[in-house]
Amino acid sequence: MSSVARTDHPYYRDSSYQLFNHLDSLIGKTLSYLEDLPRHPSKFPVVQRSLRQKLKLLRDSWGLLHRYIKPSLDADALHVPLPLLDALDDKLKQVPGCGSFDCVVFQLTAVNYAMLTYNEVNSVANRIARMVKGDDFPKSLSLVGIPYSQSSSFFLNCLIPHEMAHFVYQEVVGSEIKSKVDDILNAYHPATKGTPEEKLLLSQIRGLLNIWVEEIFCDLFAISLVGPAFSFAFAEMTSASLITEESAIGKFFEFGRSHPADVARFYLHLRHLKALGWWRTIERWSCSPLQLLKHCGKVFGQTFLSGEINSDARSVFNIQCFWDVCDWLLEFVKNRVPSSKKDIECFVDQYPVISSYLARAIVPSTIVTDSGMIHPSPAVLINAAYRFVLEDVQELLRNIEGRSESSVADRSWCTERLELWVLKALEDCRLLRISRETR
Amino acid sequence: MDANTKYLTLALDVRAITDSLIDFVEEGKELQKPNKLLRSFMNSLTEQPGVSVKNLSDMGSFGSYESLKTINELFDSTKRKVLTEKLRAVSNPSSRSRQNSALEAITILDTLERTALYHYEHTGPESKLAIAS
Repeated sequence: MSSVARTDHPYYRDSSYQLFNHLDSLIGKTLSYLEDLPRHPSKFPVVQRSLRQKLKLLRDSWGLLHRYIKPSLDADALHVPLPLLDALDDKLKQVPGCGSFDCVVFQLTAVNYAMLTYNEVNSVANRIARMVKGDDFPKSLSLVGIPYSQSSSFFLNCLIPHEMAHFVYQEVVGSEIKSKVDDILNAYHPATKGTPEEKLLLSQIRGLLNIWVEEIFCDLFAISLVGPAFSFAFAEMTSASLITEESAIGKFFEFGRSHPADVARFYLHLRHLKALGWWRTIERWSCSPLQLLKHCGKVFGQTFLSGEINSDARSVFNIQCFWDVCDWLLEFVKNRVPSSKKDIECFVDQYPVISSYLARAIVPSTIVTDSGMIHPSPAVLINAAYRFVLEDVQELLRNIEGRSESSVADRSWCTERLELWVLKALEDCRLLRISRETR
Repeated sequence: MDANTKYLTLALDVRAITDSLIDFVEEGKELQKPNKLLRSFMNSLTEQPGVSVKNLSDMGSFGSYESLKTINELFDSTKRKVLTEKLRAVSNPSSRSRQNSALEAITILDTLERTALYHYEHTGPESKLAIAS
């Protein structure tokens, strides 16, 4: 793989090179295994047949990894939101147990964000390694897929912390959370005499609950990391403002095979924002994501289980299990991630200045407040940018000759500029912080 | 992890057990002890007197819906017992005909691996996306 990647320039993040090197090594081990296999023919026909089947399994497994090689090569340093990724990596490293984590970005063709790559690449690569006596997948490497069209955008990429959180779930907290899920599930489904079919049913319910809980963990973790900006990006991605117009039979209310109901997710966002202290700061904003959060706080109880879940499981499953786990999870995440208190205080203090800078097209890398010259923290910049685009972007439009507040094209143009300025501010602030720390 | 991949990892986990049996047959290498993967697999084959979350948890990755579904599809109660006995016989140094037991177990495990791979190739794509449904 490294031979395909450019070598004339530090063209990828270090974490990408780590991935390429690992896959290179695994390819080498697989080839050695294949070369070695015919040298020791078995005398047992059963073993011969089995080894032929193993070759097919190996090919299919590599077929799965093959899907992600091109998307990882496409995500070179010029095609990923580098300043935001660096800022998020720095934030993640402050979480206990995550100090050595690094994130590799993939470019997906789907208009979506995904952590599929970690689960798929990691677990399959490790099992291939077991077959060919290769090394384990690097433990600290998380793999995040973003839509290729969003490589230089900022707002939607505030969804990335959710994907990073899947890695934290897998590597740090997953077993603790799964054990709690089992305890709660056990209270609702105590041991009974049962048939293999009933065992299968319970395993399906357990699987669904674990999938939904993992998603909620990732949402809450992302909010702890970057504040309400995650909820706003999620609302934008899912067009969730439609929830306020929708009756309870719509898809936003549906618990599906791979995700909990959106309305449940926003309700839990609301509770988490309140618990962290962000809500007091944002509750009076008039933008639609705020109305959405408030609305979901009222209608969260109207969810239902999707028809794609089999009817036996639907009839047995008690959704209260999910809510019980979430009550515990809210407290769990709050205690696991460093407090947002300082970021919230700084946000309240610095937003008026940052917004006045943005309204005059000034990159807010360094701002002057009553307390002196300040380089805003990433969480402050991220949420200030979101608030500005949601509530105050007309201030910028008014200051530019020939632009109109009511023009969609002008608003879109302004949003793109804002994204570039905020990414620049994030980059500057990081460089300034590093230079301060080195001095 | 999406359902498709769970079938592939089931096939790969079964293969890890098969590989250890092949090592035993070809090189006389004893099965590794403790063998967490083999124990989880044996737990998934054993018919428990009851159904509980704890039973599922003892089955490790074999306790997933996709694994149990595939195992149920292939093995009735008698076949489960046969496979369990073969695997126990290989693990037990005092047992007679260990090699034959291993060879028979390999044949049965290959069927399980093939079925898991079939499901991997034929299951419709579930939503693989982490954010939007």
